[in-house]
Amino acid sequence: MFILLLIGAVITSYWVWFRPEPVLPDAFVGPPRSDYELGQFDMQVFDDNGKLSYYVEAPRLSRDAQRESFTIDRPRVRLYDQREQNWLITAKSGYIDVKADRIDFDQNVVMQRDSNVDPMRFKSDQITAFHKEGRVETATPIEIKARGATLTGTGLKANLNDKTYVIEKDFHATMPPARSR
Amino acid sequence: GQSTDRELPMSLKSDTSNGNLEEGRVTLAGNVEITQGSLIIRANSGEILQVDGRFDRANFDGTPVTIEQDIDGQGKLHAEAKRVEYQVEKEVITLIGGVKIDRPRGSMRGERIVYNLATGDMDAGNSGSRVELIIQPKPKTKTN
Repeated sequence: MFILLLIGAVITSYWVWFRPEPVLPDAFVGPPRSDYELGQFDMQVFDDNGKLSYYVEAPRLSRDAQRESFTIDRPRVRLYDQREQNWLITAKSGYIDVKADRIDFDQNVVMQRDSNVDPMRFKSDQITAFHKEGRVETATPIEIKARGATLTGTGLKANLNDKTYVIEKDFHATMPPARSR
Repeated sequence: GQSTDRELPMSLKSDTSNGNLEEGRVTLAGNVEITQGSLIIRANSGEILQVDGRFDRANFDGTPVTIEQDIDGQGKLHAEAKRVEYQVEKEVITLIGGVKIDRPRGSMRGERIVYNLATGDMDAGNSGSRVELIIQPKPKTKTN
């Protein structure tokens, strides 16, 4: 009986000490490795007629080969509306898809119109710009400052060319009073 | 109250809104509530027009539109109508359709009444429809 126990102990200790290490799957699943990156760059994008559509400058751009898209850190993007007024958009990150017909901005997104005459500013946590059509959209809370008024709500569709907007939910605005007597 | 409200900023709330940021036009839809000091307007829908960034005039439609405001030293105004047109600069509110205005001094009913927020004057005009005016008797002064 004792011999059987001894044999069992030898086998299990051999198994514990000498069995091959199990091959664990690669735990790290991060963003696909970019096939190239740019540092401290600026990029001008032209439309089909060769007109400047938008201008990007950022500290870093990484290219995703599989999705043929770009991820940009801390982008500063200038969009140009039909009346050549330009809008500066900044955010923590930006994403340009393969068709390059939209730019998704994420976190601390601020979009302001460069205009001393009638400044406008949009603030949200996410904004998508469809620059070819001059449209911007978000499903998240938004704040707009325009003409002395402050408009807030959730969900926005705005057209930068004709300056129309739709706020889809929870609209609230404050406006300065009429001229004092 | 009435005399200071117009100097205060205006707050607008509604379910949804659309408009034109450049023209200063804001359209409101669903549970519309406008507050400016003690003035409170509630409606189903509304349109606000800014001029030079300032609130210039507004139109409201409702079933009905209701208005409340503290009248300096005289209690509260309650008013309702199907449609209300508010000209801020002139401090004039035009109430149209099933109009009821109740104030401590008296009440007025009609189809179209123009109410001056600054002076408290009410003008039922000659819209051809009947106007009903109820003036409360002065409270008896105590004789000792």
